[in-house]
Amino acid sequence: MKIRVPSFRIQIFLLVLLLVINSVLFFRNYFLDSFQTYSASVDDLNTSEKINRLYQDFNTHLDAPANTRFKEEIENILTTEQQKTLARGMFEKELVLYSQFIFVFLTLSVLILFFISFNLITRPLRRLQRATEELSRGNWTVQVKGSKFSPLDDLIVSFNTMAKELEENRNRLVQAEKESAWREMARVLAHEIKNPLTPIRLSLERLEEKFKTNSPDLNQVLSQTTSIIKEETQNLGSLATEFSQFSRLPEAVFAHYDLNNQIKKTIKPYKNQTEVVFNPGLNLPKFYADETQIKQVLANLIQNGIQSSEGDSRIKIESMYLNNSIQITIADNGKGIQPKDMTKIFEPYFTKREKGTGLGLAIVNRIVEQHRGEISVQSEWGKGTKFTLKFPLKT
Amino acid sequence: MEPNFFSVLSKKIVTTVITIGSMFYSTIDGVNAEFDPIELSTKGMSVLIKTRLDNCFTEELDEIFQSGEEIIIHFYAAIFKESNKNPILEKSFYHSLRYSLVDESFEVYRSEDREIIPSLNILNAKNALAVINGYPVLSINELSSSGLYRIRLKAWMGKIHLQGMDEPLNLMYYWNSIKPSQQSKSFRRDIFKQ
Repeated sequence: MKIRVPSFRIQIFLLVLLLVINSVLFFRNYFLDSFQTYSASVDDLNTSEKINRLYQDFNTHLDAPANTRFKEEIENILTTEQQKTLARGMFEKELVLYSQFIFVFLTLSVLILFFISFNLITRPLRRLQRATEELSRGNWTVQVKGSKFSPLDDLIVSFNTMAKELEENRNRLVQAEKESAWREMARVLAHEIKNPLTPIRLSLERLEEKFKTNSPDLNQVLSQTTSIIKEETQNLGSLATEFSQFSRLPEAVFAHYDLNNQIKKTIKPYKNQTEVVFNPGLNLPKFYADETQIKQVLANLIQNGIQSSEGDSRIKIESMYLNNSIQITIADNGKGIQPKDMTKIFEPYFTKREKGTGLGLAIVNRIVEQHRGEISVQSEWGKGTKFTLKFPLKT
Repeated sequence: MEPNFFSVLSKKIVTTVITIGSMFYSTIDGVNAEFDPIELSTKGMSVLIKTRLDNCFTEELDEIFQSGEEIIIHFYAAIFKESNKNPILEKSFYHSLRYSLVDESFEVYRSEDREIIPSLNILNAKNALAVINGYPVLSINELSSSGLYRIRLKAWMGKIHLQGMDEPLNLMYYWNSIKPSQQSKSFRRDIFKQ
């Protein structure tokens, strides 16, 4: 049988209830016992009996008038004694009953006061807890309602100030990041545009020189120059395409398809350049994703592997179904990534290659995020890199 | 010594709590005293009533009876004609009881016949206290020949002051603060003619 543990509030409440009842009962019993002991000791004195005996012993020794007066006096004393005993008995009964009233009153009062003060502490705490959760979810505008009677009001004011400052700092940070990104993009763009301009300019200068000197190999130089210009303008075109892709990644269009088949098709053109090994996963369920975007992911990672290899490169691709998700691993035997760069590789415009925009892995990361997937990387400097992509079966 | 603010406050709070609590619970277990049906008879020209109070004693009352303090039960008789709300005649009398702690016996006085009944034990004393044995409530001459009459009887006890108690004790608490009341059957003057 499963025992449900009561909430912290109920536990504290029960504890206080127990303490109050115990202490009130303790005092009540103490005073009642003391009074009963006192009553018993007074009863033990047997005053009435002694007075009666006194009357019995002496009334026969008195003459009639004196005896009448003596009897009256004794009667008065006995009446007083009897009434005092009766009053004490009644008082004792009242004491028991009234102590019950006081017990109920004290218990209720203490509990009500405790409940109010406890609420003054726990309510703002709950509000603070909710606000902290909101904050962690990214709601930077969250503010906690103050409670001027609560001892935690100062904490609430501090929290609200902190949240406000956090929001302002975050806005400043976002602005700074934007500016930094623009600067970085401008730097990369300038660098990437300059790269093809230099060979174009050098080829044109060479062509001009050959033309002025009416060189016999003018035709050959012209052919080489046009080919260089063509190649570099193509490079500029691809550069523009890559920037455009990164800035305007289209919404994923999800559909079920055969992932193994897609990988086989994607690696085909690369088999002429390098050794590509594919181990398709068995019993792989239909993959639910945007086929075009996943093809881009695969192509970017394969190209990344080829470009990082010097000489003989080898790309190994695996697909598998594991823990209700589809995994793809792409490993190369290239030079790997230096540990200090591991955290930056998915940042836009980060590249270690001379002719790279630093957008390939950033695009991969964005596509994986759009598919609610995960990407992780393991790399050993000088030995190679392995990317692991994990996609939930249905996003 | 002047009582300080807290002692005054705590006394007020405790008194309030006790007052509120007493509205629901009491130390006194009361009974619902009631009269037996009223019997009417005549003695000469007087109309007599006979009845007794039932269920009117408790153990605690017995203890109070033995306190030595005089205990009085007051009776009130009213005679109504037809369905009038106002009585044509009202009469009061009482029964009192006193205990002698020296003689250890009770003495009952009944005002209707100015009779002291001495040396009673508690059972006889309670009986003498509760019984109305032929109280001459009115004269036949006071009744018109055509009228329809009824007699209403009420009883109550007062407060006594016991030594050792701050406040006087209201004995009516032992009757749940309800005055027992009884009404005779309606009668005409004719029923008393022999």
